[in-house]
Amino acid sequence: MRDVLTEALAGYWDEARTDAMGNLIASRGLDRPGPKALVAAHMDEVGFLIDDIDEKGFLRFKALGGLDPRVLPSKRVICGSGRVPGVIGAIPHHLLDKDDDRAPAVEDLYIDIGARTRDEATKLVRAGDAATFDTAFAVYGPLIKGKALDDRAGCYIAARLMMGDVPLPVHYAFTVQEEVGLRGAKVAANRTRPDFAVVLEATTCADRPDPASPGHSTYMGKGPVLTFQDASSVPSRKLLDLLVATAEREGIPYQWKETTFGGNDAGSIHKASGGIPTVSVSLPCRYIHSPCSFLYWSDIEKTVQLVTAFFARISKEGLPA
Amino acid sequence: MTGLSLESLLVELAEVPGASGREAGVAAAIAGRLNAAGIETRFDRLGNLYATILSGQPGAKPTLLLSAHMDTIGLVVRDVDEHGVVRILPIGGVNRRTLLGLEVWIHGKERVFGVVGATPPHLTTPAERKKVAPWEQFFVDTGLGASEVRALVRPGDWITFATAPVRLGNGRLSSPGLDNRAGVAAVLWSGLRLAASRAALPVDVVLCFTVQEELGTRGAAAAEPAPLPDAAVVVDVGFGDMPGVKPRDSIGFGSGPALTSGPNIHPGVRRYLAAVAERLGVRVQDEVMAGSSGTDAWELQVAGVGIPSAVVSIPLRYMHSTVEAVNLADLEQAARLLEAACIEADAAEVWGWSGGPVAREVE
Repeated sequence: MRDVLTEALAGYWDEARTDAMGNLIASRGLDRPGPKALVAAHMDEVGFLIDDIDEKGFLRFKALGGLDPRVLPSKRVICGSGRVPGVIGAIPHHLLDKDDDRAPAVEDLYIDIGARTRDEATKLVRAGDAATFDTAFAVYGPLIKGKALDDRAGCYIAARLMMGDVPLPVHYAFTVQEEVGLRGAKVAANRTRPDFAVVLEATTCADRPDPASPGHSTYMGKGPVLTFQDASSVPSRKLLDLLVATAEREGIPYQWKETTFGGNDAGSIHKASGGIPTVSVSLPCRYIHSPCSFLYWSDIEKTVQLVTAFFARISKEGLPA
Repeated sequence: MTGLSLESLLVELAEVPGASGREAGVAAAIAGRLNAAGIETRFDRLGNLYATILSGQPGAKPTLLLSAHMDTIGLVVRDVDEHGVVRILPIGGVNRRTLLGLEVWIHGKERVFGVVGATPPHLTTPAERKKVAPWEQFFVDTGLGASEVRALVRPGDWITFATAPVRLGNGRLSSPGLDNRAGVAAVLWSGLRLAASRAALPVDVVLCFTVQEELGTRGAAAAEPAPLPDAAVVVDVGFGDMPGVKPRDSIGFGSGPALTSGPNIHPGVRRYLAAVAERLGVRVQDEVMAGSSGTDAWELQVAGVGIPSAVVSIPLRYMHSTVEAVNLADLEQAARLLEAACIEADAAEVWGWSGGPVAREVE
């Protein structure tokens, strides 16, 4: 990810470094007047950590980040830096008891790369290697489908902001290890010590099958998501109000996240450096943390518009008092 | 045949959608290959595909049937609701444990992409979350608006799995539909090679690609190969060994094709196949089925006045998932065995199984 981002953005940032955690932290316009912003998006995706290779060459794994084990059987994966293709299979149901309707558990699953023995497997993959879903990115009309949209979409929006150039001093932190505890963001915030932060994320929809169900969180197609509270942070109310005011003035649709579970890098950033006023602007992402997630281009474009307008306003008016 | 490898034929066949009852596309692909090799084909009224490869030698001959089912499991559209959510039911034995998160193609007015979802976990009880969701909780989401979906998708439209084939190590291929496109590939490959060596054929060969096996061997039940063959060899897939499956319930993955034994199998045909394998240097293994072989052979054995039948199983891991896996070597050995079984057949021995040419005549 760092390589991909560097290739795309090296012509736009003033400088960038990879810190001790692996965060890619870039800056543009630090000599400008105005409050210093931190724009954060995480580079990591949910996946698998191979913890054991058995004698028959099957790769046993633990989840890296939150994964519902029920999405794992019958899926293709890619393993390690060698990008070795593998599959997570399933016991033929013909061989299970008719009454056995247990959902699979991670301990019972494994990745098959076609190796016959541990020795064969370890020539290609080692314990400690990571694996990810192997899902192609594609666009079908208004729909984007792919894996890792959480939070490659956030990284994409951060990249668009950098390319469009925000009229403020800005650090862009492409963070690591969000999925295992918002870890990279903490040190990125400590290093950059911004005056305020905007976290760009993907968030749960649960708007299907029933949009009216009481448990839905956000809706695809209704624009950027603002969070009034989640399990990891309470945002700066003043920044939130300014976001709303900006959206309404610019005629940009937005929606509220209607659940308070889940967390993101704002959870670490708002507590860092003596406390940093932080807001999240998120994308409604269906089937998040699964092999194939959905986003609409329109929600991405509206989010770019909203955050661009928000920064423009702060550049003119300063941070809300 | 030049330039065509068995692997590329298998991938080509696996990539043609053809769920039970909707086999026209894959049947056309198979017939296309046969016709291009100068082999005539015909269909019966249920959609079973037949091809006859007549021996180039003079005189009366027995007929050997090589058979494989060309349908795969799939999904069918039950309903499209007011939100554009597509409710689904299975075509054949779909394993619900595999469904969540799968990418699919809906074959409606045009091909529409979708993902399989289920009632979100936080809307289910802890007890429900420990189990596989029931069919009522599953759906396909196309990401399109309701009116768009309804313009393209109707109840009864069929759905296949969009997972692409992938090569794994040690000559293994993983793809949806290898049950039974692997069997189809073996029979088609052998048929194409036999057609190129009719002068050496001591028997007539009929290839039969059946429909609707996954719904209960329905195509085979309707099949009326003409003339009625003197023996039939059905090629299907068998449970390849894997963690979580008892060795006695499976066959060795990579250990060659299996020859089934049991009441569904004519012992003479099976003995003959084992002898051919030994002469050929093809390692075969045993698969024992105390009742139905679970294949078209159950119907073919009692078709007409009866067809002495045998089953050759290609070991397959993860059956009825979208990542079914075969060893290409096992497939190659199965194809070699079929071809040799036809080339080396002894008319007297074959007629010995069926009762001879006179006794086969049916009014």
